[in-house]
Amino acid sequence: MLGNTLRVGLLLGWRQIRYASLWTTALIIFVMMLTFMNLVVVTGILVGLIEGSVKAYRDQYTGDIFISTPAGEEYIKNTNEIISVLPSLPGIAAYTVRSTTGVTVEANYRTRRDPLELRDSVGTRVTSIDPIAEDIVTGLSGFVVEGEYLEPGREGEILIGANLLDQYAPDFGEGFDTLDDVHPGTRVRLSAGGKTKEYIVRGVVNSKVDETSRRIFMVESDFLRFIGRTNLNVNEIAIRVQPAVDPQMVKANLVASGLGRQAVIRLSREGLPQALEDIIATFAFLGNLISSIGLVVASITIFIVVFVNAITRRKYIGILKGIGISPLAIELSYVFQSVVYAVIGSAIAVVIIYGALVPWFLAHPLDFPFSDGILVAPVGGTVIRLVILMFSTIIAGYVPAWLIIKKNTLDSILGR
Amino acid sequence: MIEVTDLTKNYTTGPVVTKVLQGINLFVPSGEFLSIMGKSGAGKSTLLYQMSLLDLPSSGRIIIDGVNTADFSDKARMNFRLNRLGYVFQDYALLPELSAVENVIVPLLMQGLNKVDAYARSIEALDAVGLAHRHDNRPSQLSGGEQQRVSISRAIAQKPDILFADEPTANLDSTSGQAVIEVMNKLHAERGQTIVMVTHELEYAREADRIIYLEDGQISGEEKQSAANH
Repeated sequence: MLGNTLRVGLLLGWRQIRYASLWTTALIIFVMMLTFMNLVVVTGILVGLIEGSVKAYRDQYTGDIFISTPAGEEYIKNTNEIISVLPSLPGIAAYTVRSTTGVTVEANYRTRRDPLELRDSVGTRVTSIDPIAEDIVTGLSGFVVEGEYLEPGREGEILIGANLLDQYAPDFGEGFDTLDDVHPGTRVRLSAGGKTKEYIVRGVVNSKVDETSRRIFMVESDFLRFIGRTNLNVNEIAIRVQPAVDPQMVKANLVASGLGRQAVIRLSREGLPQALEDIIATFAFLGNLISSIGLVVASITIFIVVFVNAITRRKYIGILKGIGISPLAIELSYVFQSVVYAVIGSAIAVVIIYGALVPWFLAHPLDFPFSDGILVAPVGGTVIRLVILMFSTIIAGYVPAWLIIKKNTLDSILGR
Repeated sequence: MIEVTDLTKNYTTGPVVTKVLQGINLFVPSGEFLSIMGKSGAGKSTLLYQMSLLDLPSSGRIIIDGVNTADFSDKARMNFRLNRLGYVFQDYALLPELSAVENVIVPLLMQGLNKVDAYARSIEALDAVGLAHRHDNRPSQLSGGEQQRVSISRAIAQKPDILFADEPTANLDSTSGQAVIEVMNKLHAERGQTIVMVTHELEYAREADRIIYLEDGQISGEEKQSAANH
């Protein structure tokens, strides 16, 4: 009996769709498409604001896997042991090592005449890099906005983060100390551990990742000489894994190699502060909240369309019931129509989202002050939203049909 | 076979109770072609709706082929209508988005026939009313008379025990009306189809075996037709 009901429901529903007004059908599908895009894109962009920041943090600073100094240690002991193991581990595409220490950087000291005048100085961290390896892993050279990138073997030169410079202050806020009038070619003094040395600014790096734009970079030989470190141990190792390789697997191999005893080994994401994860969750919640309004509007649209359709066909509904067609079959015909509208609308939306919007946002991220916003649309989340939309559509299609169909058969036939 | 005993039907609007049918007693043997006539408001369509289980009487009994229909649940009434009764409505009542053959097929699929058998039986039913060649046409592409004949073919395709027709010629010109009546006559003559038809046209009513006249909700007269009239 249920099979007969289903067959009749599908036949009635399909024929109604085929002979419905093309414009009306197109409009309903358009609404469903917008609704589904709203469900995916609003949340995707809100989450993408933070995910863009997380992605930038990974791409420009930590790599896929980040090895750092354990708490209480000055550096990663036996760094050479780690570095000697890395090339033999499968899945690693590249890595870069960094040493870092706190410094005070001072500018305009040559023009300072009054000893009582405040020094033009800021506190920051200086980081040693291998310019070539660093560029492969983090693309640091791409963030040089003034001057030039460091070159291996050229000493006495530094890259300085834009957030340390006054001329870039409007971009990130006025609350931090900055250096005045520092450009490529300017001489600055770095002081750490009672030692002071003068360097020439070779370039300015600017990025939305603080670890890039609030640091000073110099080549490793300069760094070792400056701080007087006599060993080759470092503070950070950023590892980039090969495409399609699961970083978790590489991390597991690193830990299994026993390297976890002398350093902290984390995936990029594991190093995120809890607050950032909370913000992502909050934005996702807000996105879902906003999207749900769209879902309600779409459900009401479907409800109205089906209700109007059913009420204008009330006489035919009565006749169908009169000749023995089960109410469920008639209800199914309206549910089927609603589902077809939702499926077509969602399918178009999926094509637009994954075929156009996601690639477009990756190529042209939204320029926010603290991140480059991308569109985050994981397939799992999209499938869940599709199920939610279908469920809402089924309810929105069923209820008005049920309201009309439950009316007295003879009253429906006679239109009273 | 239909036995109607002490059938009443009242409509209540506020304090006003309108007695549309008042103690109808009627017996329709299997194979009879019965016409119900009467003036407008006499209650003839209301009687048809009660007999065809489209409406519930206020009191009285309707027994069809020995089954007391008062005991039916809504679902049982629906199934009984689907499998035992056929309907022809005044305004054809065809679904506009379905072709002629699809209009006929729908109740057959509901009865459980597979698509091939349902299609074959539908074409056969359309052929019986002379419209097999128009099976792909939608109602809007058919004349009123043709639509009514499709409506009849939908009813007979279900192989009903009783065919109920509510003023089937009311919206038709005389030629089309005559064609519809001829189809019903043929069904009655060739298949022994039991038919209960409401009409206000005496000319068509006289095609039946018997005419009953309703007046103010009561049977006021009866007229049997001789074979010579047919």
